[in-house]
Amino acid sequence: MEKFQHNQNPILSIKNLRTQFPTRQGLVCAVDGVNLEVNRGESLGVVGESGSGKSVTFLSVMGLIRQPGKIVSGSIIFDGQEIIGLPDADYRQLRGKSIAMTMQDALTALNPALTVGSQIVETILNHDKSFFQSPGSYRRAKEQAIEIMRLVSIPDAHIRFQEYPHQFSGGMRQRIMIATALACRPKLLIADEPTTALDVTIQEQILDLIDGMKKSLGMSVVIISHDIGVVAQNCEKIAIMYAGQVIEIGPSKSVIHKPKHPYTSGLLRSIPNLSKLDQRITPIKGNMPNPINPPGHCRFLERCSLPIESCKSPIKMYHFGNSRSVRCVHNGIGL
Amino acid sequence: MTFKEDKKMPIIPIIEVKNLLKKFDIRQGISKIISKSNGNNVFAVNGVTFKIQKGKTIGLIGESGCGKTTLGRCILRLQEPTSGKIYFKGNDITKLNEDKLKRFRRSNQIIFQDPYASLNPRQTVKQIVSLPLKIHEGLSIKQSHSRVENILHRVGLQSTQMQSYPHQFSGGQRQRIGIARSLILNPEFVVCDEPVSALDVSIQAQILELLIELKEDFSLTYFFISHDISVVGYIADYIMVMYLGEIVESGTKNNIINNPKHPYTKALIAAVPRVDGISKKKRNKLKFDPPSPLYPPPGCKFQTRCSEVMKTCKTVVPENFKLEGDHYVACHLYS
Amino acid sequence: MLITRSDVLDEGQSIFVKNLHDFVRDRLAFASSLIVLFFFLLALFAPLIAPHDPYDTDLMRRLQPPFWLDGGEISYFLGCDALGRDILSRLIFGSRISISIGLAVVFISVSIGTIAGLIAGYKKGVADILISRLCDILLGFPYLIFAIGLMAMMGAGFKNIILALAYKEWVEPCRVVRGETLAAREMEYVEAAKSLGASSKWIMFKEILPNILSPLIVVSTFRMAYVIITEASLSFLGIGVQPPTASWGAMVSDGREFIYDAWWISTFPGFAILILVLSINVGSQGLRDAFDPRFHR
Repeated sequence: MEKFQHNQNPILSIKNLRTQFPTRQGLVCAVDGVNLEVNRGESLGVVGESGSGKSVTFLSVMGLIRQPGKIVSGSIIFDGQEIIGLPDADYRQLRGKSIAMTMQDALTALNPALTVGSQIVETILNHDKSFFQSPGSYRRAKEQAIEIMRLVSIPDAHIRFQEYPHQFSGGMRQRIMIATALACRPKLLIADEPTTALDVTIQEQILDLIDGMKKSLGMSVVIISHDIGVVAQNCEKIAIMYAGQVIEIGPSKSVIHKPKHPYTSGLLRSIPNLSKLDQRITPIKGNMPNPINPPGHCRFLERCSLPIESCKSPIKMYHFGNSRSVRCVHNGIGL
Repeated sequence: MTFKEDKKMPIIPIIEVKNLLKKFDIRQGISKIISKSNGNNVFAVNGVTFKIQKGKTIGLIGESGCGKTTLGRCILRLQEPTSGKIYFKGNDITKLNEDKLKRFRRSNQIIFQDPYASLNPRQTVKQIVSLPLKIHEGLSIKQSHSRVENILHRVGLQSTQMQSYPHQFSGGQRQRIGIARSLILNPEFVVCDEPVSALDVSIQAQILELLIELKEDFSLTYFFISHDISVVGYIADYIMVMYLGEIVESGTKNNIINNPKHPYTKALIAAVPRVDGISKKKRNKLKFDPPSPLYPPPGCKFQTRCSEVMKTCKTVVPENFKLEGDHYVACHLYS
Repeated sequence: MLITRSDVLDEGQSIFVKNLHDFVRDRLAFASSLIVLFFFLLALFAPLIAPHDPYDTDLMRRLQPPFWLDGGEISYFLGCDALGRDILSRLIFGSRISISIGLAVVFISVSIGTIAGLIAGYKKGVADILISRLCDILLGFPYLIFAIGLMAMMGAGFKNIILALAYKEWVEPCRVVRGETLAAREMEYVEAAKSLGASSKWIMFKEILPNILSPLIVVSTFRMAYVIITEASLSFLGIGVQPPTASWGAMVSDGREFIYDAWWISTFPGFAILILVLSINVGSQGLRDAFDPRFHR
């Protein structure tokens, strides 16, 4: 396939992605028409609750959707190359080297039977073909691994290289996962709930780390989180997902201070804010919609405080200046 | 420390805890006899003293491993304290016999964190919620029908759902079932152990508001444990901060959130991601991870991470120093 | 949120019913359980089904071959034994012995084992030490030799066989229940019941037991096969059910001296034991796959 290295092109471009899982109860449309772009060197935050499809979207990007689930339609272009339908061998080349993903639960994502050092080295050796040609390739990989461990602030890296995952705390394990992901200097890092299981002070360290890596390696980053605060503080662009679709997207400040979708504004009003202790929170009424056989009309209709007639038909994305888009007929008026 | 009603005479607090200690011996079997006990004990709760006045919500914050869950369990005698005293309405409940303990349980309840694990998967909602009535009033399921119906309505569920099983409900609904079960006997004091941490963000707000309403209606006193500082900041009247088994600071919500004094509290509050705090200030962030609970340092336990550590901190355990108002800090900076 | 195949339960279904559905869908297991059911019915309706009286001797028909061989007749379908008794009828009546002993032993041992296991697993402490050590001691004895020893002490007979087998049989359900109870007692719903003031008895029998029924059902059915084989072995050795009562094991033993000439005397009861035990095993594996949450695909 032709690859053009045009620096204006986004590093990742997802268009109309649909990923579905057939179950006994019906067809689960986990990702139902998602459009997202990550520009080079940019950090995108993807916010959503359970059932929003945020993780499945990026598992689709990584080619990690297993049977019986499958990507039904759409296109994912990474670095100028279409990757849906890529043969397994090519995908494996891509994973780890150009796109890397970290998972939420570092304890289960790391192999408990292998030392952490060997897991990082494995990634390095898998991807750098040149290493295989000369002897001492393991030694070089090991040095590189220790260097990365130092980079992610693991103290006494050369000793801890030989330790096992259970000997590290949760925060350290997350850092090791990030180290493994960064071992080959990928162009895009996808961090799936990197802070969820961690204490708030460790959370801060991890986010600073990702930010630092982004700056020094010129990496593009996607942070997936249910915590809008985490994303607001660390990402330039935010995408809000609900029931398998992107419903709002734009620069962080703009989305937070001037939300255009009732869900976004509802979410912001329902989270306690430490800076405004006396402000009452207003819950969004209702429950998450059933992902099986989703309706054609606006997914948020049952919980929305501003429903009108036109909400009952399929809603398209409305685009505004300053890269703002929203999937709502109100376009932010009345919120 | 006392959280007094403003200007009223001190009345008997609903719960009083004196020097509560809970240690876990991590040795197994025969090594209990052979090895020495030093370095094998985790003092999950290390001499905690406080009073709770009726009708207030006391929040307890701290990171994982600080002992807050253990403290909550000990107050209710769900875990047996190693030493110390607990008083309910002035009565010593530390060493009650089975009968009196059962009566204590009637007035002192707990709401659990995990809505999936805290309901017996083999019982219907009706069976689950009517259990307290059976235990304390000897009522059969039939006889409990109307009271179960009432409490279910009160927490936002319908009577038609009584014959269903837990797996048929969402997380938020299951948490409502758990709340119904805890409140059907009209307790006076309720420990809320991370009641919203396992729920989606938009559902958290619903459950928080429900808890606040119920507190009014049932005249409850809450002991609200959470690692989510924003949530505690919203719902609590007074907040206690816990670190490695000890309470390092306590005071009104306003004092703790807006005017923290202990270096740990300061770091904790500052580390909370703010939705509208998009620009991050440069400040002293906490380095290193907490020390192992098996080998805590002598003197102040926070010395290994404190940016303002002094010589006294390394040898002398700080006392609880009273600042103005109801504000207490266990830190040598304020002696 | 990756959804696996058998994740979602249907509306209104309890876990038990859903497991039952899964079990029925496993065709091999279901077929095996139908075979077992067939044997049950055989045992239940033996007098109505058997063509002849199993005790009826007829020396004229001594060692008569099955009907498809020379000298056989169709009314004596599978031939006759050394005393001229119809093998088919004795097989059918023999199923009564195997199945009733199997059921009785399993019922007694599971009842005792469950209570012991619950107490040991939930209360721990002294009760657990006593019960566990008792289990260890009993397990030290080889199964068959222990049973033989007990039979020698008590004398032969139907009741004594059941006792002799049940003596050790309760240990296995006890261990399973104890293990499951140790895990279940840490569950939050148990803590919830405790926080509501529930008594230990309530927690053990109403909270924990319903949740550990699945592995218990599985171990009970597996053990039934074992018990049936052991009873057959005892009867084969002559210390089980006494003649003239028809027992498959005894029938196999009776046919030993004739194994070259009248092979049918030993072979058919042998097959019966094989098919019943095999069906129970396959059926209980299917039960385990359907009921035990750890084995879900």
